[in-house]
Amino acid sequence: MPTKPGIALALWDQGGALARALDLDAFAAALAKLSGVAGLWRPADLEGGLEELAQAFREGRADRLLMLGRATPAQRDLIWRRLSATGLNPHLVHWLDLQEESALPPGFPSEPRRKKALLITKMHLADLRLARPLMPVAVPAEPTALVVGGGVAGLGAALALAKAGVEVHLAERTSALGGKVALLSGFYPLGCDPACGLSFTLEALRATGKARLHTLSELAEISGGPGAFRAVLRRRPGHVDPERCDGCGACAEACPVQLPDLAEWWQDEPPLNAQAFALAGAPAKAIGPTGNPALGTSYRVLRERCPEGCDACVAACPAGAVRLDEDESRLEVGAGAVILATGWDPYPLSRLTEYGYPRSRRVVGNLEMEGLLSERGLPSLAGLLGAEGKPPALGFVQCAGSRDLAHLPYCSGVCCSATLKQARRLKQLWPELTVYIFYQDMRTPGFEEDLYRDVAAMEGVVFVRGLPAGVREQDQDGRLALRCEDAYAGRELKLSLDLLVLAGGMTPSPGAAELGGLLGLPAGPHGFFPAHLQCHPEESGRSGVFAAGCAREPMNVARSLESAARAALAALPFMQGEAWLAPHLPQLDQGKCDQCKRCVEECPFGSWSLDERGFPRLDLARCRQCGICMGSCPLTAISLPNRTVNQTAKAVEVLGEGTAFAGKEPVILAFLCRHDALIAARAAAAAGLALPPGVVLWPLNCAGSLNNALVADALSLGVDGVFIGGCAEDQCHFREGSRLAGRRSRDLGDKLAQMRLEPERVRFAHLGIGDAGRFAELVGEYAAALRALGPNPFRM
Amino acid sequence: MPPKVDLNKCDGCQAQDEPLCEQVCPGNLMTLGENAKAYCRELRDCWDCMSCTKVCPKGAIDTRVPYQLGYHGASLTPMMGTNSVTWTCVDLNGNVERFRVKTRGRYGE
Repeated sequence: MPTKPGIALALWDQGGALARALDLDAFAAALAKLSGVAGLWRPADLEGGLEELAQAFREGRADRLLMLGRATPAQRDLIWRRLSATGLNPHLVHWLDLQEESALPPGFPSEPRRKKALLITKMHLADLRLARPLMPVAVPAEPTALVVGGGVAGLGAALALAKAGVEVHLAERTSALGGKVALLSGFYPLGCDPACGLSFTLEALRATGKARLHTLSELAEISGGPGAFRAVLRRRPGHVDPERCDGCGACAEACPVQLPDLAEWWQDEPPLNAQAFALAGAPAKAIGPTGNPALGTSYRVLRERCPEGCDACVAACPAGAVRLDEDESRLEVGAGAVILATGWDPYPLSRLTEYGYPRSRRVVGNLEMEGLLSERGLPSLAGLLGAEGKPPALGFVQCAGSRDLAHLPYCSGVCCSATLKQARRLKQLWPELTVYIFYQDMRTPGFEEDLYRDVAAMEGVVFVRGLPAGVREQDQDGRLALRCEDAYAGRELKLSLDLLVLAGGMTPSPGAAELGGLLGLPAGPHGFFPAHLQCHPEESGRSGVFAAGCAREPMNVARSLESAARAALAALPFMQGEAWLAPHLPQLDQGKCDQCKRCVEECPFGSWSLDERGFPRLDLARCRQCGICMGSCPLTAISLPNRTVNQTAKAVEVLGEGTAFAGKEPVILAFLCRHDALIAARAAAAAGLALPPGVVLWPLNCAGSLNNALVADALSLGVDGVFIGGCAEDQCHFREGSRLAGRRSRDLGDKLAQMRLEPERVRFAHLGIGDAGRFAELVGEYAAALRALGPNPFRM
Repeated sequence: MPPKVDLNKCDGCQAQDEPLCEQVCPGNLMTLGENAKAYCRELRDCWDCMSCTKVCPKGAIDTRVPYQLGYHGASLTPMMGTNSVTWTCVDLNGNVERFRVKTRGRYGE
């Protein structure tokens, strides 16, 4: 009768570390006797030595493998390549470096040391015995992308995706593409016209034939998940059929409405000083072109400005393109992933009451200054600067409403360089102009420092450390009078200026919060959408949704483009027809589930929702496979395949039965997050740091994946103390894991106190990946504390 | 004696409409109050089965030991493992006894 395939044990001790630490033959003999073990192999080298082992898998004597010993990642790869041909499933192979697992504590006599090594091996065998072969899971992934936002980041991401062969729907809220960048008169440091880069992008995008650009459109509804989003775009009427309009301008000529100021140049509710924009010379009829003309003309009607009953444009249009009765329309699109490129909005400078914005036409924002510096704005600017006979002078206020707890607490990172660029342009145009730059700190990272040096070297550019106070318009000539304390010169300046430019910061665009609500996307403290900026900047808090450009954080154009490419690249796997997911997708046992919905609440990525019967249902593609739901379930009804509660419970049981190995020393079970704490602990053990001999390490996928029932198991089986190591609270890769683990271990500590046990028998600590020394210290202290408490009353 | 909920610990199962204690109570006695904390709405009907005490993931529920079994000061506390319940019984003199009871079928393979 053929026997069930067992576990192949292999001792891999090329460096001889095991042989030095243990009586290897006695250890091997003990291993071979363990239940469920198909045999013990001791391959001598990487070549022929593995052949016998491979034979066991080929013949079906074994179907899983526990490799004991130390191997470099390269050796592991090589060994795996040799063995994978036998049909062995990669999820049934465990590597156990006994030294790293602190199984061979130095200074421990050899007999208990062998016992400890054997015990840890048995724990891992218990775990491996219950493992199942796993395969990656495929989910459908529609080869279409939805990009929200038609600024430089949105267009950049759309182009990257379209070039990769993906259909792209781009929704832009306003009537013109190009976003804020289309308003700039030049980029720093070279001073290129942004329209050049944008028109290049647009042309390339149109050439792919893959992109559909929906202007005046917003995301109205979204459902589904990564790979299969269904979105509804709502398009406001523009009243001009873009497919018929050829931009001849006959309608604008016929239009009787002369707008007094700029009501709509690039969006419906300009947060900017409308006065200054009017100065910049914008279209002034109720029908006309919008956006930067270099990017192609798109006409629209400002319907709310039309006189009742007027249809002069309809009559004038030779192409019959005007549709005054057009209504809002809706378009449903499918998408594999969503790229959020909603951009930014200038900080409302009217909140800075001390500068008189926007009451004075001589106080403008930095974005308006871009308008004034454009070809259309220059005449107005010249008019502002030329006061009778007086030398022209202009001031910039840096950090206007930034780095200020009453306004924006952060630095937007671009305003200093933007000011320097504008100052340089102004000095090129009017060499006799005096430019004052009022600042707290000039921040010009990287090569932008060159720009700073260039401008600082110019004659007639004065840097004043200090912010102006008491800005008012002088009665006689309308110029601005202001006072400013110069901190470096130690005196008060009294200046008379033609124009004051407020270098305001960036805020999230007004639609961002709404959109975040629609997508269930958690926003950061400042309203942007960063998730894990250090390691995975493109990730948002929801799978399949990626943030690009200033939707993520304030950044300059170059970084916006880079972030767009990064977001597009990360989104691509969700748009390949099918997306392959790692197989550790949590599984719910409905028989145990009591529908308490705690998993739904605690999942940091919103992966669980409720099905029609009230049971939690997982959106596979949203799941990041952290296991926080496994840790949260009060009934342990959720488990990640091959990381199940049951597997760990069996390993804990083995430990509970074998606590005698430590003699009088306290037995500590250290549950450690495999991303940080476990690596630190293994490094400590491998480096031979003094760890308490009774400490046993056990890996967790995330500290948040540890279920309290397992800690209870360990304590009730006589383990003296349970140490839980998670990442630093705000560094958890799964956002909430470390925080939840801390909270849960405190709850359990309270329970222990009720049980007349010491709450210190559960200890939670934050550990970084490099904290090997700190781990040794913490666990050493913990062992001392446990020694003082005495043994766990449950210890056998 | 009926269950007593520690209002500082109870999180109302995160404001879901039916907290776990409500789901498991065989007498349908537990429910959420207006403060989104659980309470027992009919104290006299409680059978002291301790289902709510055992299931509470926050350890917020305490079942007072009936006076016939132990006067004030006595307590009975369960700690739920994966396939065991560990009971700690404290009498009014502070004597502690502990039992570990294996449960079958709660967490199958």
